Amino acid sequence: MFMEEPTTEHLAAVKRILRYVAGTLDYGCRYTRKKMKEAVLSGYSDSDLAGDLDTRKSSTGVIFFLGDNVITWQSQKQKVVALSSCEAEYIAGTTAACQGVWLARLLGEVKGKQEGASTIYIDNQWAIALSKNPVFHDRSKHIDVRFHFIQECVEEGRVHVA
Amino acid sequence: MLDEMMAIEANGTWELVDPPRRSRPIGLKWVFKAKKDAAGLISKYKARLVAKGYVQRADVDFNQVFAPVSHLESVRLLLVHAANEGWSVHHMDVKSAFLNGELQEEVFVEQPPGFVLRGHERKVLRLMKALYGLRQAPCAWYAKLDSSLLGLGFKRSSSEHAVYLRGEGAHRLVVGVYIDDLVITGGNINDIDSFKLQMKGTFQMSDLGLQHYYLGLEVSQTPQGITLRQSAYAAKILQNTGLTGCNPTLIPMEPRLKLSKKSAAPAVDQTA
Repeated sequence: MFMEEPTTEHLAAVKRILRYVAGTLDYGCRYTRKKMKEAVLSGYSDSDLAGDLDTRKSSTGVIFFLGDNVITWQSQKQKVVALSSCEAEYIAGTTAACQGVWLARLLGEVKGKQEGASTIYIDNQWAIALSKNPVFHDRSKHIDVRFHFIQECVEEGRVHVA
Repeated sequence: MLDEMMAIEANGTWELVDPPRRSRPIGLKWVFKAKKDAAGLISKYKARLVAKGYVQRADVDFNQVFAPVSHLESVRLLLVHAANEGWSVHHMDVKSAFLNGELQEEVFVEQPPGFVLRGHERKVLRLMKALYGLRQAPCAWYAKLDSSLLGLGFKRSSSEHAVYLRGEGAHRLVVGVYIDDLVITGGNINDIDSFKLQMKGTFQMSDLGLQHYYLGLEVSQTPQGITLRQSAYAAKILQNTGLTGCNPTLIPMEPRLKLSKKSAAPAVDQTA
């Protein structure tokens, strides 16, 4: 969003990223073998309330592991303005649920087993409570229907939240 | 150029026909490329005949152009699963993949420049198989590969259409498809080898052995597990930006940095 009229601040930020790249040239993903137990799929979601100063939109961060091995990660600006940190966390949790349902299904197919469930660790107690218990009250009744996808997933056992 | 013409002729790609009345044949052209090796030296010159697909119109000249490719997430999921199970990951690629695609539509092209048959200058070619540059070429290739893999007893994953599965337990074989690159992993090396033979019997394949480079990822496989890196790519970015010798940092962003449109900082001199 700063692609038009970039300022020296932005150039400095980009250079900083490149310096990070220079410091981490040999970094990568290491996938190790754990012989004893079956690897479980777990996801973590987090959010940054109103991280964008201009629009006051929040950011979502999601990362998924199979056992100790990282599979996928994302960081994106949310499409709507969240009114509270709980709400931002709830939206991030829903993004994670979408990814988790798909990953669990694909993993099940690759293993040739029934699709399992993934566990999503949300960084907020209220968001965890709301995704488990679809009670509506003043603070949540305005949340858009699409973000309640996570409630459905929890109810059907496709996703566990913690 | 002759090699390419021979490959195309041998493939039964086209037949010479009288020009159709209603449609205009698509022009062909040659694209030449010098292939370089890892050290940057020219290793071979390559000629490829391409169709000027940009004149094709949707619904008139083609219907379907979609071809699924595997997401990077699912490639990593396959690699993680392979690492967990202690499987080895192999890599194959299909030579001139798109030339294998069978066309559903009637497509006419002009005779290739430099190879017009004397006495038949007015005739055109009717394509049976796809050419590079045709809008439907990727889709035609995917359809061909899909039916071949299904014919070999694979099942396509319903959640990722570029992942194919065969066998159970120790004989499980998983194949990920990215256009003409195949990632093959499974519990039994004999199963992998027999699959490779089956593929070689179906298409012109090159067997790249254990996977070590895939879609820009440097893959290294050891008995302890699998490591992914992009060191060469990262070094190239630094080289292109002239920051090869810069002062490295371990944090990608200045802590607590907030950027805003209302910033008062001066604009970047874009010509510098």
